[in-house]
Amino acid sequence: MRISCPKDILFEKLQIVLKTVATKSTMPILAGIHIRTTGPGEIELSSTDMEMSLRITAGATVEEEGAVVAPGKLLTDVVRSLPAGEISIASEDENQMVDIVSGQASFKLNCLPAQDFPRLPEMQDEASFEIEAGPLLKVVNTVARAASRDETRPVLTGILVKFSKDRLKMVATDSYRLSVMESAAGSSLADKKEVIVPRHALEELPRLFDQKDDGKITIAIAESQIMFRDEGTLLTSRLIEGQFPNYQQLLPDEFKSEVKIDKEELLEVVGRIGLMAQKNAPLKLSFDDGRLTVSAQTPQVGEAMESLAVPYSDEAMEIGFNPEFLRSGIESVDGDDVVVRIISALRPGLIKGEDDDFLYLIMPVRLTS
Amino acid sequence: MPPPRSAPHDEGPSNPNRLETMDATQPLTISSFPRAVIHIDADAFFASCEQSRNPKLKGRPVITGKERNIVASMSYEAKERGVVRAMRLSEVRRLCPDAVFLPSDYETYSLLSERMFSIVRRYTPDVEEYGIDECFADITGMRRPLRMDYRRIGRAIKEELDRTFGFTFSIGLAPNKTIAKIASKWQKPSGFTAIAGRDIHSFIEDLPVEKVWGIGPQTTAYLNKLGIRTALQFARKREEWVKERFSKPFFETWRELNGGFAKELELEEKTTYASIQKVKTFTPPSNDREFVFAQLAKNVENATMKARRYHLAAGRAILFLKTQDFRGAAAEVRFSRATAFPHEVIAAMEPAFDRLFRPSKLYRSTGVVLFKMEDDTIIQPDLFGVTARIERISKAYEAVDAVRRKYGKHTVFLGSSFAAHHFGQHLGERGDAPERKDDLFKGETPRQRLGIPMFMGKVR
Repeated sequence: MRISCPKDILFEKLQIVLKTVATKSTMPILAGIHIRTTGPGEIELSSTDMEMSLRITAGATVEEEGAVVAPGKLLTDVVRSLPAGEISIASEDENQMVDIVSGQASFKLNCLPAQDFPRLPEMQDEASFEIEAGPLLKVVNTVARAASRDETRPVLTGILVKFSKDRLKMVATDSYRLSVMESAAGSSLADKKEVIVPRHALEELPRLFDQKDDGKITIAIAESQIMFRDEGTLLTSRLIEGQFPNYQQLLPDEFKSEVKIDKEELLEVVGRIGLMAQKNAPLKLSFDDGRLTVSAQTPQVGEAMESLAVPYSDEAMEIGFNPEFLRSGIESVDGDDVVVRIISALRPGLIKGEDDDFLYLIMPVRLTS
Repeated sequence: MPPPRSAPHDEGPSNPNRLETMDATQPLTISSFPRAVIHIDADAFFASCEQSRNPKLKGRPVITGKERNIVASMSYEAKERGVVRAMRLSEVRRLCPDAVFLPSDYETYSLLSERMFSIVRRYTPDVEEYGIDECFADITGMRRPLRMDYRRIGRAIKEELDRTFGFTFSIGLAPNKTIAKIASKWQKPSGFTAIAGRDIHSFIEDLPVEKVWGIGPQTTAYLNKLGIRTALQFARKREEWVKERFSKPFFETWRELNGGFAKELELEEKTTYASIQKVKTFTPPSNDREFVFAQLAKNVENATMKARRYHLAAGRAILFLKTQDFRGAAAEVRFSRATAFPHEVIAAMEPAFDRLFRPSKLYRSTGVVLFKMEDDTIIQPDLFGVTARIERISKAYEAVDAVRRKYGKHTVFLGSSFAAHHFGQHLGERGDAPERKDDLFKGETPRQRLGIPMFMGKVR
């Protein structure tokens, strides 16, 4: 193989595929980035950690066809360190050494055996459909953060994704809060599809794909895999098996009180007072006639409180929330106002915008002495 | 009181006629007792407890620690014959064939320990219980209410303790904890040493720096490399010099060597823990997986019980196993949610235990450390009702803890630790129980007894 490519393009693409390079795997080959020529003026870079894989194409001058697997982290570090300009990559024997030359600098890296590199799945065009990129990325950005990081319940580390002809819905929960968002999203899908996608995979999407108004992303769902493709970039991920909890059941039918609060103001107060809610201490919201008082107290650290005028007229109520969960919910709301709905100090509270397209259910923290 | 040893006198500055440089005779401070702290140390506490409640043992070499097969404490009669702590009992037998070996009776020792602290509290409320047999007491400002000077107060405490217990205590009076520790050690057993601020220099002139409380082997090695061998050499260093090279605790030690007061007494009873550790040795060593695991499970039960008492839950735990040749193996376990329930901790530990356990090895002890402790009074319930289930389990453990408080620590236990409860911790000669446990009063059980140490002499 003998190719050359401008440094900034090569470095940008390497950084992207580096994400799915597995450095701590028992399979050494997964620490590599696979580079191969795919056409007269094109190369493809790919990597996989067996959960996810990334493939990305780049324009390059191809002098001789071929393929090579180079240690991913080292290759990226070498390319990063080189000055701007054309970098040439060449390998006589794909299992021996790869030469990287730029200007007066030349490197020889030991390769990994190319035949060991796993075969990455191809996208089956007949099973694929297109969806509007804008709504897809927006819903991911809003919902993904509520998914669990705790591996003991694998299904909660995924996000339930429901595709239909003109709508898209995602649900995530770490069992302390639940985030649901539905959005209009035109797609070429004829029927409905429902899958659980790992949080990590969906969080890659905004990084990989531009959020253009008219952009489209192609999706293919196979038995245990999902693929996302836009032009030269292809992300594949394993799907999570199992039953996602029935979230509909968790949403209370009725709430006792509802109050609309200016989003920016509430976010600032929560951020400020939250500084005094450390070591698991909750943020206390005290609703009283026309007033909301946010307070926090951590033993041996200190305390803080702040009031803001809100249109609340029901009987006084106090409820405590994990400050991080609360802030995350408020931030996710679109628009100028947030609507907070509560039932009691022990029942979940709901945060939403003007419309019902986004719902954020959050379980209160209980204080016992 | 006669001057201790040959060197300094406790009542005044050192002899001006001594041929020494100005540097060595110059006091470190000119004040005497800006603060008055006493350190009280029971002499050969465990052995003394045994002698005190069984007069037949008085005057004889008494050794405790039979269950561990090494010396835990020895009476002064044994000490004179060359017995030292941690010596093997077989070696003691050679040195001292008439020695009396007794199993440790911690129940009695802690009862007497509490009594010791309560006597000291008659003189001042500010008492730090530093160990089972030692404490610090701040008597600053007590001269007027007690109508005694500081030395009189110190002597009065000593006299009352000696008289009450029938064995002796060593007491040091000084302007701070560090010097008080040096003072109580100055003359042992049954010493009373007062070191006024202006006399500190003569007491620490020849004191190796490693003998100073809080200076360990690492710091000693570093100090030696800096050319410092005695406590006085360290005390004479300039403040900036010390600050540049040492962290805060050592700077505090330096200040106290110079007569300042830097280490506060810890008067509060501990209400929280950063970690909780439980370790138990058993004999004979075993390679029976069920038995060794049961020992570990028992440690988990004890550790989680303590965690629950302080309303703490652990985010992580370490388990460790020690083999007969004193080699250890350890593993860390993470919990998905902080817990103080033994069945959850044990379940999470079992796979790690099986990775560590080698049937070809003989194990002699197991241990557990709970850490990443969280306050479990703040409850974040979940949307799926798992918390509600946990709370039902909490109720069950509250009941278990109540039963244990009433009827003894091991009346109710998990099946996992059955083997550890079913057999004594130590079999064979080392398995002898303290005499106190043989003889029960009406209504006492082996696990629950009256809170009074038993007198074993005959009253005629």
